[in-house]
Amino acid sequence: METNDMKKLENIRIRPLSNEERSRAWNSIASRLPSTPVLSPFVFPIHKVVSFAAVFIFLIGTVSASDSARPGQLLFPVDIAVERIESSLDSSSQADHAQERLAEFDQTVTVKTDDQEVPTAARMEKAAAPMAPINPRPSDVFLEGEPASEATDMMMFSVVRDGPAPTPLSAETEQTITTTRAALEEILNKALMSDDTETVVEIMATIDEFEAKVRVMRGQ
Amino acid sequence: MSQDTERFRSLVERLKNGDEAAFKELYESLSGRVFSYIIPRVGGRDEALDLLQDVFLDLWSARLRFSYVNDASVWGFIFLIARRKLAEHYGKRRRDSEISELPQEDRYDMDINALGDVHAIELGMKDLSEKDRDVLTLRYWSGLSFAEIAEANGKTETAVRVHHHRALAKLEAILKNHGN
Repeated sequence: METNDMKKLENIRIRPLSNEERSRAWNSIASRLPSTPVLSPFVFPIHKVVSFAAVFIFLIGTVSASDSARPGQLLFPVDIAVERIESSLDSSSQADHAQERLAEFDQTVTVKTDDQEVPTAARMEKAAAPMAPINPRPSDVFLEGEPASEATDMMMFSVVRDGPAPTPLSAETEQTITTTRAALEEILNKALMSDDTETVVEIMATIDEFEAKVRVMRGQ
Repeated sequence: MSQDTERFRSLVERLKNGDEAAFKELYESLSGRVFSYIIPRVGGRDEALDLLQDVFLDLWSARLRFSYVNDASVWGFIFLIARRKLAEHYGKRRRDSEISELPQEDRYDMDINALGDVHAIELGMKDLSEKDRDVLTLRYWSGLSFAEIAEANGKTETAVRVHHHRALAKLEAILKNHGN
């Protein structure tokens, strides 16, 4: 660098932080510091205890209420979330969860069909004879040691469609079917990852049952 | 900086325990240089003072993540926070499109006749890379020695001298170009 420019650089003098500025900035910093109160171990801030208790009771209430939630209801995702936690702790509970999904599905479609569609029981009766078989049984496929692949999934829900023409269902019912099927698939996938064959078989039976009910509803 | 070693170590330990008096003492020791580092990079003193507060509030919030190794680590940590705050500030100013040239008298303690030269140098500095600008700002605006810059950046003093030399050569070329 040329001497002249160098000198200019060397001569740069920043107006330093004045004492007034320093203390003004400090006052502002001190006022913005997050307070860290030290509580006496003998004094409990009662309003906080009450708040925590209220939140705790609310959460417990929500989780308990969610257990009976059905697909499409507000607390259904909470029910699923609680079950995911349970499943991660104990793989055998997954079979129960699959059963619970099926029971919830039954309740939901029964309530809906009472209003909008032919009741499920009546459909069962009507469709008892032409009920199409599932071929092959997915549990047989799995137990022969096939990997859990798309092939398994496809076969699981494959249906020989040669019965009467399908009855269209309401969009809401279709949504419930999709939600329940996804929930059951998720439970099955989890069970497949644990080596609990008995649970897997139970879940697959539940899925068979679910698919049979769906076919009946469709009038197949 | 090295004469502060024991003092800094103890202040940092107290700071980590949430001791506000220690925090204030650190502020008293560090704020002048941090301010000098910030002021040439922003529009004016008020803006620099706001950023200075943000830097120290961040230091308070991040105190548990900081471990004292040596004095260099203290300077390195505080300048790292300052750089981040400046980067956020630049981003915000760009978004708000409110960049304005503020009077230099606000920043410099110099004869009014010399300010034209400083302005030319400032313009040239804008064309340097962030790292080059950083080493020159620390040296001439913040008034840090090479040893101190080395400490603040976690480099050796020789590396800083070499970097400084190269940055000066680049600035010289830019200024010549601007002159033409």
